Amino acid sequence: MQIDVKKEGDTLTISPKGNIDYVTAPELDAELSKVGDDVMAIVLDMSDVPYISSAGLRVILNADEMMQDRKGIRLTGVNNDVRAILEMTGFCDMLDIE
Amino acid sequence: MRAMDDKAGLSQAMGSNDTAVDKVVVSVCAALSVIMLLMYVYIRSTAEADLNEHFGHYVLLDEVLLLSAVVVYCTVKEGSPWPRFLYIGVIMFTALVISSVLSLSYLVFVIPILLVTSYYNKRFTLSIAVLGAALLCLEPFISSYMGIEDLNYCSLKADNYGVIVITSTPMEEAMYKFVDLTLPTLLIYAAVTVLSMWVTTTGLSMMKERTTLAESRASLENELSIASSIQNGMLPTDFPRTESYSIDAVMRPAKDVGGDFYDFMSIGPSQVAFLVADVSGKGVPAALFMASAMTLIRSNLENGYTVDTVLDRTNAELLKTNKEKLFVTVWLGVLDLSTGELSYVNAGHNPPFLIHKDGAVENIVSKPNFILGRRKGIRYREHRKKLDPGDSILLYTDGLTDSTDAEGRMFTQERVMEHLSQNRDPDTIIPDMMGVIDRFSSGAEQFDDMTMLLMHYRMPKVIEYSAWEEFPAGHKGHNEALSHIRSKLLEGGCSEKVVKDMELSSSEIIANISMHAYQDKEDGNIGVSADVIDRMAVVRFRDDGPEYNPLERSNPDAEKRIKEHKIGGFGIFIVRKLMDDVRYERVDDTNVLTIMKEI
Repeated sequence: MQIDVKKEGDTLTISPKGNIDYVTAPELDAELSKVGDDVMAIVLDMSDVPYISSAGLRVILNADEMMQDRKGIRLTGVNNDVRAILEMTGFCDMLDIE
Repeated sequence: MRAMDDKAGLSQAMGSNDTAVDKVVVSVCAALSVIMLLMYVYIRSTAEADLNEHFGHYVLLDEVLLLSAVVVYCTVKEGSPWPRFLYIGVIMFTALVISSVLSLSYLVFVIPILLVTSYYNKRFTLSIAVLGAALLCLEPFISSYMGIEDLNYCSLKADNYGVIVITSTPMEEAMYKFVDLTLPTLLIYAAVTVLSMWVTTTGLSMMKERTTLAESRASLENELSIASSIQNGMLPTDFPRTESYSIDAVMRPAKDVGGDFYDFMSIGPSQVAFLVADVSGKGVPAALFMASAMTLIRSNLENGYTVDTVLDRTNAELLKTNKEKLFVTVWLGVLDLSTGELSYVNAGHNPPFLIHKDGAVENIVSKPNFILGRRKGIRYREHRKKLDPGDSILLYTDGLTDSTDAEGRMFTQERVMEHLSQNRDPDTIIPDMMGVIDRFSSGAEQFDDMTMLLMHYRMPKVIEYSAWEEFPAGHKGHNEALSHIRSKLLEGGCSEKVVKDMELSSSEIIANISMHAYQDKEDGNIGVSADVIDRMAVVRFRDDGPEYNPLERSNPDAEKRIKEHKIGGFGIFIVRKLMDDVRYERVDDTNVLTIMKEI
């Protein structure tokens, strides 16, 4: 899985490309756990993510908890399929989704 | 709330009564105005000068009053109460005029009393009665001073010329008349008043009773219509007719609605569940109980439980909320279309009829288990029977066998069997039986719902799954397995949307199997088959890990799970949401999970 990371000020933009599933979720998890203390906000750019499985949800949830004392995590570019999964599982109410 | 409704109902009934009486009263006013007009003409045409003098204006005044009462009635809003006093007052005055002009016509005073009685208003009746009595007392004085001389009450004397003259003063006449005529009349008048007060009171209570009666009947009818729409609205009517089986069913509610129901649903590609049930009790409580029993059975079947467990669980759930102490009898069967194997369970229900291909009819007798909803911890027993292609099963409720004819005789099971042996065409069994019952019970009102369901097993369903393809568990085989599924489903004609949902679900299941069957070690294999069968995308997964049914985990309450970090159940939760059907089986020491979605 290709994951682009871009830093602007204290905001880190992470753009994974491809499905976030059982196989690829650990890669995203590894990328997120590398985030340093100087990062105050994470933007997870989902525009190139066709779908997400429960493994992916778990990774996002972990990241959200990690950032709870900071400015948190925000999801952008969420497509309809992914949004449907987020809604179905109740994540929409917990996460900051653009 | 209830009391308020009653009051509103009564005042409404009183209102419509008042309006009707108003109409009669005003008609009397109109009639009297004609009479008074004639009287005026008569007075004018007679030669008695003093009568003309006084009474002409007097009668004319009354005529004007009567006509204005009619005019008022035509102009004011229907049902307004104040003109009533005017109408009755005017009629009272007319009575006074008539009895003054024509002596010995005291009886006219009864007219207003009779009219006012119909308003069923005690105070109104009483006040008009008092007013009438007062006018009655006044009458001799008015008539003596202004009316026709009534020689009965005058002192007469022949004068010097032999002419008879009246010697008494009008006051003397009046007093004489009052004592001699008015007082006895007042006694009669008082009696009439007492009678009319009695009529008012009984009329009022009759009115109240009638209103309450009408309201309770309306609320009962309303309740029954709610109950019957619950009952009817829930029953499926899209009867399946496939190459391998067909189902036909009917539920005819009795007059006061019981709680019969039937249901059927296909389970996976090769099984069909069907049932008939009878809820004790009537009306809305029975209908609601029926709705919850039906929903519970349905959802337990959907969750992949066997028939005995479905009833175990339904019984336990029904017991939790059954204050009304209702119960339901159920006969539930699941037919495997590929083998003809029927597994069934009977909770206190009538044994169904098995109609063999050769025409023999038998009763599927098994020792029934206890009814549902009344006893804790009952273990329902599953029975099995093999059906041959061409066999049919008729499920029914006792409304069929207990249908009565005009003399109260029951239709009986024997007669049902007799008719079944004469006609075994699955398309006409139910309509024919309905016709037979109608002829049998013609004219006799039926007190129980009547329900029948016919399951006809036409021929075995051949389901050809493609061969198992083996993929390594864990990450290694994941993508390969998914692309295998994708290409097989696209080949079978699935849309991109369906393929995507199947892929996502498959990904969840592979992750689940890798974790539970092989503890994420990559040395196990996962068998996969993907097919499109009867417009259903069907993907099966097989592993040889320890027995594990992922469907037995309860659906997660999203927020609670997220908070409690118990996110593990999410995978299966997503699969269930995306798929139309998910089933688990333990086959020859392997776990087989099948996911299905209509394409």
